[in-house]
Amino acid sequence: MTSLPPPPPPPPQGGPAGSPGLAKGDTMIEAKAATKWFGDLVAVSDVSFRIGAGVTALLGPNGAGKSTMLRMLSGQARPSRGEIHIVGGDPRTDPDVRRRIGIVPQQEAVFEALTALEFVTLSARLSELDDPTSAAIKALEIVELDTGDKRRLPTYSKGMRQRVKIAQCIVHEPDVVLLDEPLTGLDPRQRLAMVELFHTLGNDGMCVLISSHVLEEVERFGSNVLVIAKGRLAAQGDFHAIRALMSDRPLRVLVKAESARALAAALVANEAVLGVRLEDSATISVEAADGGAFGLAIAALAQQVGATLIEVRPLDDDLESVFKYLVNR
Amino acid sequence: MTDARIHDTGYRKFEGERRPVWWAILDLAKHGVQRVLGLKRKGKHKLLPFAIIVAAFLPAIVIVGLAVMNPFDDLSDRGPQFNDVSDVGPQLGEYFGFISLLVVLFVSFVSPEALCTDRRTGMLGLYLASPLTRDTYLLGRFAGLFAVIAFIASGPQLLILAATGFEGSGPDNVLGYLSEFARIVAAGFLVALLLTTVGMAISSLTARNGIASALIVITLMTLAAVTGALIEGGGVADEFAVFNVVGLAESVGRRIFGEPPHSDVGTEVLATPLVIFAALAWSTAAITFCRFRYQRIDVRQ
Amino acid sequence: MRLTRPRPPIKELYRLLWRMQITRGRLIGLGVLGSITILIALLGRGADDVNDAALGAVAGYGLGVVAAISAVWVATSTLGNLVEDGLLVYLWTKPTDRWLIPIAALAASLSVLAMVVLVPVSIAAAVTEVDGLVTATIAAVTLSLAAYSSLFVALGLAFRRALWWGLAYILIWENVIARVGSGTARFSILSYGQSIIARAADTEPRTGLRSSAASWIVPIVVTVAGMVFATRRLDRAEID
Repeated sequence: MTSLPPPPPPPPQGGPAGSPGLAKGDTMIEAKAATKWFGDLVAVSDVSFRIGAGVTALLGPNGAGKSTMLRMLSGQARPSRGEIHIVGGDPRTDPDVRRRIGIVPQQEAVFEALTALEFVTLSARLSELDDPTSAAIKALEIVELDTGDKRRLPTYSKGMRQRVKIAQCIVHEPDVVLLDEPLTGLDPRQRLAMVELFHTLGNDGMCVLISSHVLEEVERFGSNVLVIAKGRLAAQGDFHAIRALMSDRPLRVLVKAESARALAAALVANEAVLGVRLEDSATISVEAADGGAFGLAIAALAQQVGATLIEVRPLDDDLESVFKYLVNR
Repeated sequence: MTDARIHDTGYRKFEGERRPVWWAILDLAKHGVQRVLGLKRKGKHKLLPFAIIVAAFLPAIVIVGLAVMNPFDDLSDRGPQFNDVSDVGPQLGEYFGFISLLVVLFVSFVSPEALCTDRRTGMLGLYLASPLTRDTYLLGRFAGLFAVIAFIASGPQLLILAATGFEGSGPDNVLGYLSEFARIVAAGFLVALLLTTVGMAISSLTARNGIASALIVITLMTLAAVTGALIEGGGVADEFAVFNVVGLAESVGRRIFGEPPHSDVGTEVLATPLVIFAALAWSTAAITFCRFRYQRIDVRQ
Repeated sequence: MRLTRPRPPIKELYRLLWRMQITRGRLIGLGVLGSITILIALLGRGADDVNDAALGAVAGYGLGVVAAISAVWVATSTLGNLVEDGLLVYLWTKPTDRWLIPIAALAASLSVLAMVVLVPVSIAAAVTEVDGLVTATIAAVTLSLAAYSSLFVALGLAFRRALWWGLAYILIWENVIARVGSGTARFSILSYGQSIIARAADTEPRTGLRSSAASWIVPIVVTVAGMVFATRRLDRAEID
């Protein structure tokens, strides 16, 4: 197994690596100034990042360049400029690298002549497994599909076909799993099961990169995100940490307290606070310039004016707020 | 008191006058022409249709070019066979036979492009969610296809007619020109009607453009081969030649121009009324079949 | 999981592509098309010049229409449909050697075409009762189908409207331009096949191109060239 040289900052994200030959924290996906243009249209521009084992969400609005980025990572598309390395090699030209990648493409089409077991067995066979049928049965069981189903794939529901696609992706136990909108068509229970599966794969040492534009989905995948907007990498890392880095944007905090008016007056005088709005007799919304300083000050101020704090909650620390800020700035 | 006010910018129902459904049919026809010719789309979409149109017009363009560059007198110097400019190319009535393969190829491209694409992309469902019905949808598509096929089937002849007028070797008077013009339009109308309806009928069998294209070519070529073999070797009646659609289209042009029938297409023994009747019968049968298919197609939205 | 490098999965690729080609509608359509050759050959037995009629049925319709159009229909769609439907990604991103994909596509196309073209056209040659025509027909059809299939498998990878371009090639080049004379006929797959059959029927080939060693070598060269082109195209392709 090829390892990259010691990575320069930023260090790869991700959890513990459990795959044989991969050390904890090893970079498994690396993009170096990856750029892709189609004629005059620049789909992905100068994107660099490193990812290790664990689940990472590739987040961006429609048309941001997520699918193009995933196609470059899987080798399907050649970068117009820059480099892509998967487990240290080129996914377009190196069969050993391709053997270690699993892909769930966005398109819904499947081989109409095959059953689910035949499709997944074919994938296992093409991945050069020595017992493709057993591997296919195991993969289908993981995604909760009937291995004895003799129906051909066109008769399957959209959600079932999506699970077959996931099964063919993981059948050869790849090190890197690239999934383009994998939860499309699944019902809520199946979504939960698949999210759990992705976390299991990540915890087992696989590098799981999941593209999605549905924020509620992404929040379930964990907090590690790559945010792509207008073809550029807008942010990467834990989205709570990303929010904390947004120093140019005030933090909005909801404060519930008895004697809220007195507390509001005290807050106005505090340097960490940019604005205060009294919502009702017990609720204040605060815009703070520095979240850390505000956190330290609020308790002391409440004690000072004799107000009992009931709740202090950030209003824009969630992924949606972070995402909106990143793509609209 | 102030004049300031805040307006509701939410959804508003269209309260204006609505045009009758034939506007939608015309729009569909216009869109069909644009679609099959690749108009308002990138160059690669224009390549196929315009390559065939240019190839079909090429002989006519050469004739026009000769008319412009070589007046009648200069041309006759080249030999006794060149009495006027029309002698260097096919006669008006022969022209369709000269380009029949190109026209078949054109039909095999434009008919599936107009019909199959709508089914494959789900656009048919959107059209049928509008005031268009299956019949009016087919009418709109027919009108668009008919227009482009009539253009390729009669455009070159009109160009030659104009060239002979320019050169002075055409009809003697305006009435003669009008008569030739009417023949070209009539022949173009019948040929286009026949090929448009047959192309639509075959395209209604599948949602895949490529397969429909292949089916059109296979059907037309096989009909020609089989009718020829049956008449020549099988001893069946000569009237069986009406099943040769391309031969029929070729004969229609020749009969309208009063030119001798071509022996290769097998329709030379048929009476002119039978040729025209057969062309109309084919068209009626084809459009009936197409309508029958579309009444039964499951539409996905 | 233990990974090995067992035999190349050519059989699996072949079976997949073959099964995708075997649809009821296609088999019936192409089967009927092929059977018409037999009908025309039967009718030709009543003609004045039996050999010429046999050439028309077997080389003209059987090879020129049935084989050529069936090949363009089947071969362009073998990989072309995978490209169109976005399914090639499931083969292309695997560690399998990419040259196996066009080879499997060629084999699958030829298997289908053998059923719907080679069998009926050979039967048609048999019913003409012209001496030596069956062997020549089998050879000519096999060589032509291999060359056409290879060319059209590659075409299916190269163009979105490969079937239509293939039809245009068959109609305009093979059936019109190549018939102008032996000069253009040298660049026509059909002409080489027809020259083999014409020699067996002891008639003059319609293109004027007489049978020679080139009639056997050129289709093989075209077959190899098509596969090389398809492999290079696959290696350089960007896959959806």
